[in-house]
This record gives sequence, structure tokens and C-alpha cells, in this order.
Amino acid sequence: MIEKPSKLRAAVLGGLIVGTISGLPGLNFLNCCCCAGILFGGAMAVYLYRQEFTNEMPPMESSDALVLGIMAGIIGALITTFLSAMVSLILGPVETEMVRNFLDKFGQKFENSGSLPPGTMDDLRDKLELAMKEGRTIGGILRSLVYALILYPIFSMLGGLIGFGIFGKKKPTVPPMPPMQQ
Amino acid sequence: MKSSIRLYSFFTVLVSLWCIGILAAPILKHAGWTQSADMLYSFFARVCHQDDARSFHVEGEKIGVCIRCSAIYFGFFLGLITLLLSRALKRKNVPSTGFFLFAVLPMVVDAVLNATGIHASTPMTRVITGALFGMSMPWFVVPIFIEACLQLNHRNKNYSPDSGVIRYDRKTQ
Repeated sequence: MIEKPSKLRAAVLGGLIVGTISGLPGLNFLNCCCCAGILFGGAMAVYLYRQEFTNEMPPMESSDALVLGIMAGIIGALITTFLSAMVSLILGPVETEMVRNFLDKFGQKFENSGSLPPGTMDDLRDKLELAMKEGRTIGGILRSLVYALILYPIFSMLGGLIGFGIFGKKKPTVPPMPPMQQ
Repeated sequence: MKSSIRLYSFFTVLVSLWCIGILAAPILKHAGWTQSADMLYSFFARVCHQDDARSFHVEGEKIGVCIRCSAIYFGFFLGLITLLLSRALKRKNVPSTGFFLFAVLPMVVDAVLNATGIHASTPMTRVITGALFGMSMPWFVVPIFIEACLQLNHRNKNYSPDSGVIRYDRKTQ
């Protein structure tokens, strides 16, 4: 029997998904809902790993999903911290202006329609300023990294386990065709 | 089964600590332990927007996460308890993908309708849809988590991957 495929490729791709969603401004709002972006990254790592299996390999196990989720979470935490720091350092003022414009444009609309309670936008603006300031200091970056290294593997592991529940089922094995008799 | 219970307990302790942390933030802040409270708020800020208007309050201070997130996490804790009471810790009891969709769809619909401005979600809809999702997740996640940990622990022992069941002798327990 052939050995199982290496987990590294799927974990890196899953980590990239986690990192991109969590590290890029705008996309990272997805994580406001129970770390949806991180859960998704963990589940995608399992999905991608599942695709590498052939019928000759032993079946994928739940422990593979658990390990993959944790690996994707750790890689995702590193990528997120790096991306966030780069974005803050290089595009700091531009990004702040961009997000502020976005908040001004859509925030008012949401507040008027009742989707957001009054005062929410001011609160978000304050948080944005604070986050941008913190993101530019070494201490702030290190604190972000520590928090990310605790949280991301946990949520990514949960995503991996959910992914295993959805995608991890055994592929139906097709019996080999009997040789044609002439 | 003993190992399963041990792993289940470990998982439950972690979830309990998480929920206690959520409630501890406002209590610490009210008691004057501002630094510890700020640390907890800062920790939970990574997983939630913590909007004051969308959060429950304890002692006049907002709790660590918003209403929807708290419904998810406390629902998860309740789901863990019901999972134990119904003795469904084995992998064979994991519900189907349809069950997962049934649990997650109401919350997604509520959030999307709110974001598009079609329907403003209320604290009630956030609690109901969040709790439904949170309470369902342990049924999906915990049996797989337990099986995965047992597999890692007994990888080189009497494990039969085809059956999806961990088999081990009395001696190995």
C-alpha cells in the first residue's frame, strides 16, 4: 500500500487562506463572526489534503485533520502577523484613509437602515485608529503574534475537524474492470 | 471509554475557561482590575468586534464578546453537556452534513440579511441563530476530536482504520 501524502502542502495552502483572510484589511471583518475565516482555512486544508488521496492509499483519518488544522493555524498566524505588520508599516496612512472612507460611506447607510445601532461607526473608527497605532510598534506586533499563535491553531483545528466531518468520508472505491474476453 | 471521558473533560474545561474569560472581563473591570480586564478584552478582540451596542452587559460593562458570539460560545458549552448526557461521544454518532447546514444556515442568513440591509437582525435573532449553531457544533466536532486524539495516542497499537473504531486490548488501556 502506498503511504499517505505529505501534509505540508495542504497545511501551507490552508495557512495561506487563513493568513490572507485575517491579514488583509476588509477581508478580516469575516473573523468578527466566530473566526469564520480561520475555520474556513482549516476546513479547506482538510479538503485540499483529501484531494491528494488515491484509492491505493490508506484512508484519511481524523487525526490527520486535527494535525492539519493545527498546522494551518500556526502557519496562518505567522502569515497574518507578517501581512498585518507589512500593511501597517507600508500602507499605514493610506490604509487608514481607505478603511475610514469605507466606514464613512457604508457605515452611514447601515446606521440609517437600522442594521447598525447609532454610535457604532464612531466606536469602529476609534478602534481602527488604535489598531493602526498598535500595529506599527514592535510590542504591538509581538502581542498580536502571541494572541494569534494561541487562537488560530484552536479555531483552525475546529475548522479542520468540521472539514473532516464534511469532506473526510471515504471515496467509493471502484472495483477494477475485468479483462475483456474475446 | 475512560480515555474518551478524559478527553471530553479536557475539552469541556477549555471551553469553560473560555466562557469564564468572557464573563470575567466586565467583572474585573467593574472591580477595578482594569489592566487584567483590558488584557481579556484585547484577547477577545481578535475574535469579535465587541461593539458595545451589540453586547450583553454585566455590572454595567460589556462582556468580552458580542451577543451573537456569546450565544455561540455558551451554546457550545450547553451542547457539550447535552452530548455527554446523551452518551454520543463515539464517531458513529456524528450527524450528517445536512445537520451541519441546518445549524449554520439560519445564522448565515441572519448575518447576510443584516449586512445587506434587507432585514435588521435583533438581539433575539442573534441569540437564537447563534445558540443553534453553537449547540450543534459539539455534536459534530467533539466525537471527531476524541477519535483523532485516540488515534494519535494509539497510532502504533491495535488501530483498525477501516472500521473507524479504535480497538485496543485491556492491557494497553
